[in-house]
Amino acid sequence: MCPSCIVHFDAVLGYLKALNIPYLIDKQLVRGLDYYTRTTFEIMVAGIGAQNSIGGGGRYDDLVTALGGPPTPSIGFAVGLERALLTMNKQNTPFPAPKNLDVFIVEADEEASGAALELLFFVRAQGLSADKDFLGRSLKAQMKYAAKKKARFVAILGKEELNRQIVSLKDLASGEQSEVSPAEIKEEIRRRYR
Amino acid sequence: MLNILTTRPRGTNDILPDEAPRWQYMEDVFRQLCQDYGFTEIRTPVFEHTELFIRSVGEVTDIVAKEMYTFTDRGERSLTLRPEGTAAVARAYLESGLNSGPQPVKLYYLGPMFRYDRPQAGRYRQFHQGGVEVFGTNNPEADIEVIALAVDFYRRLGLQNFELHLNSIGCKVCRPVLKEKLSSFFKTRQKELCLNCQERLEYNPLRILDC
Repeated sequence: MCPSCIVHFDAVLGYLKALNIPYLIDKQLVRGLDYYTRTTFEIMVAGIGAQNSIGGGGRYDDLVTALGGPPTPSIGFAVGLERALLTMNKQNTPFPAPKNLDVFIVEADEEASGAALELLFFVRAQGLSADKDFLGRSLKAQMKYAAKKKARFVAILGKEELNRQIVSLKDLASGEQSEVSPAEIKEEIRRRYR
Repeated sequence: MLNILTTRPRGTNDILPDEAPRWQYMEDVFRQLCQDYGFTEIRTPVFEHTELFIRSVGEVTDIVAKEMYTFTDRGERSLTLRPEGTAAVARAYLESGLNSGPQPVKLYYLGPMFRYDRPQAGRYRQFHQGGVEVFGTNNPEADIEVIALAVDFYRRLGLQNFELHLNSIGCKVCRPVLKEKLSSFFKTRQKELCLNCQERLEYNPLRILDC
């Protein structure tokens, strides 16, 4: 290496030490692309086959000039998401629980069908995630489907609820059931999430 | 027999509803990380003029020589599905005039890349990369910015036992000297090289090191 490349590389190593980022010098690391200059690096992990690089990059001080631009020293890297995911799965890395449906609207009888659709859009407009059945399933089948869709709550709406301007809100996690007005659904759900 | 209508092309993958949350999570972690480091997003097309990759990635690299999805469109242009992200971002940096604004310019991208590669565990013909580029500074602190961001990505994901491997391959001043030295060294032992490397001896002796 020429003196200025040596100075540059020493500075990089010095900063890595200062920031407590452990590294290994690997003289065989040259990368498969022509545009690299000076610093090259790879993140390696054991146990995902012979191809154990999961990301890497380096300087490409001459790339912009090669494309006809002014001298523009630059550096970058890329991570492979498939390889990161494969490694995480192999290492049993925890992922956050996926966000499930807040509420599933259950139509208890024919009389409630129009109102159920309105209720669906009403709760969505309040900022909740919501869904309903579209196949005319029985009450029991709707409950089963709601559980399969991992809804946290079901809001049951039938003739009787319509008359009283309420819905029966069931917490599928605790099994608790309460009667609330449509306007109160959001607050009741918020309260029970805690 | 293969039913072509219900079989995806070799080397591609469907991310199904069960697995999509994991992808969204990785992408969210990456985006947040880049924002935390002061990078802003750039989105470039998935295809570019073929010439861009020949000029930037290099004509004698494996990527350009063997792995590109290149096609001629109806206007007789030679186009290529991007095999990596940097060339297109550098092209856009120049084309949009970002190079005449305040430097450095810190950009990130996230998206699918395409290489006609031999599919194996964790290696697909359509695969996904997140990447960052810092244009317009030769300060070694910029090297640290990028290296630390890469390490931080795997840390935030909770990955264990990964190692940072580092090297310097020199610049346009000292690299030709190194290439010359390597070339003359390997020529004395040409018979011990694999066929691939015997080819590389002519064009890119540096790559022999990583055979």
